Amino acid sequence: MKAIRSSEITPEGVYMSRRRFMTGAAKLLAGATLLSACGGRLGGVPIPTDDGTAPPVDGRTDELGNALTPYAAVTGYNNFYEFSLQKEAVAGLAAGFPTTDWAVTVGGLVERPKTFDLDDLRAFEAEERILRMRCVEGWSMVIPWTGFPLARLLREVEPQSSARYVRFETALDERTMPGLRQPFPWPYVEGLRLDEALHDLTTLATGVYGQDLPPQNGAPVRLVVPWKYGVKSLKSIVKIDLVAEMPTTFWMAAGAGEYGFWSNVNPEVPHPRWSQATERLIGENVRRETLFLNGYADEVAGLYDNLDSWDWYF
Amino acid sequence: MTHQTAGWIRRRGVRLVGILSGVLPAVGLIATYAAGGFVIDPVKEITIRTGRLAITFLLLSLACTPAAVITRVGRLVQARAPLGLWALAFAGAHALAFVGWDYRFDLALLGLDIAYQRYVLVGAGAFLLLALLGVTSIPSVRSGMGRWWRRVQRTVYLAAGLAVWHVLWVKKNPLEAWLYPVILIALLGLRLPPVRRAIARLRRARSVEESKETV
Repeated sequence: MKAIRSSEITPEGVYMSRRRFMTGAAKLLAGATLLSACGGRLGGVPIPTDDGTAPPVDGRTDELGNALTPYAAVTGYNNFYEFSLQKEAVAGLAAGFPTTDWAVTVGGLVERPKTFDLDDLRAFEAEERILRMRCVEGWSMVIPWTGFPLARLLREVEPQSSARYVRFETALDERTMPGLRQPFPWPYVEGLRLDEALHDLTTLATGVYGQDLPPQNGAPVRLVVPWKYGVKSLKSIVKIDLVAEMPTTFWMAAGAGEYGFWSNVNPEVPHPRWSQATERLIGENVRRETLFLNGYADEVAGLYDNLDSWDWYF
Repeated sequence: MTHQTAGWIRRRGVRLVGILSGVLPAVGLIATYAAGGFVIDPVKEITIRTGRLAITFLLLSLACTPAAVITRVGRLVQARAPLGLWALAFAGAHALAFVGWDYRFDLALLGLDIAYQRYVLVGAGAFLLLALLGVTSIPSVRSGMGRWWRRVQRTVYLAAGLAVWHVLWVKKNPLEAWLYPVILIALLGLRLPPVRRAIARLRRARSVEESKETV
């Protein structure tokens, strides 16, 4: 097992200064496609950061003993189709994405609809949660998120008894998201059944590695549902609605019948085109067996009756 | 340049370009890796890039004959064999990266996946066919095969079809995935007798025009 040496990880100062550089470059060139060539390049000369913060690397693990995925990989390898289909290109293309003036509109079947701005979100007491992320493509990461249970936000708006599902929507900004030109059924919509959404592991994350989320990771606020494939953990949320009917998700609409609503991780249930039995742990370059419900079976198996039914894993 | 060198280049130049054509991408890939270019997921990067090179060289190899017919530069077909062998080399690197690097030759782990990894089976089929074509291109093997050699060489179309199918099944970017079958169908289309006749007619018409102009 060969871990990435800490010396190979880009210090945050370099990374941040590159982001500033690329923001400037984007304005100069006004050509987002040109930036894709620069996206995702790692390495480089360690330059002292402006505020002297060290790159956040430590020897911590999740509860199963898996080391944290290096910061450079977590923030440099992202599926965020609104920017690019190329995971390494997303960070560069998303660098200028404006996330300071943000609002999450929560409504639908609730007693107290409310629009949460960033201060409202910061008012929720955040904690660090080290959670495994299993992408449906067959790779995984171990990520220290900062966030709070979605349940707290949902209780504040008081779901009505007729609400059975929660529908989430990612931001849609054609000016700053070059990937929207691709033929997909935008916006990115995801959904959970209400009891899944209220489960304590269902997290609204606002930070990663103790810092604010960078745009490529779904700034300023994203969902993390660690026992489901990563497609369910949508990024840069602008809208949350409580609804009576099961929402049609982005991948149900785009995936040519290959994706269902539940998407719970199960190594025994293959994707139509590939196996889900194993996964490659990014950063360690090690392939290993995937765990049932991504290792969270003890916590979440109670949500589902008849776990043997393959329906839950589609 | 002497007269002899010019003659040698005319006779052997295309073949030489074919032989050297794969060196640059191969060296480029190794150099990028050595320079730490694929930090986050080198296994995926090397696997995808070698696969992309394999299918590109295979399609280039298949393009030689139609290119020779259209341009009437017959010696372009000399590049067909070396380009095909480069396709085999990159496909071998691709397969080795998958089995040896990604799965570390761990057959138990591979066994868990392989039954549902349909694109792997299709890709493996394409690779085995290319390997067969590579072995039969060894002169001593070739001369022992007589008429069979030509028949065996025709399986290159099957190999290309499987390779294209492999990419269609594995690829997340539909634009790139469909690029290869479109090119393959176009290349095969150029070999259809009616298309070949149409090209020949066009060329005759043009040469008549040209001869009028020169008169």
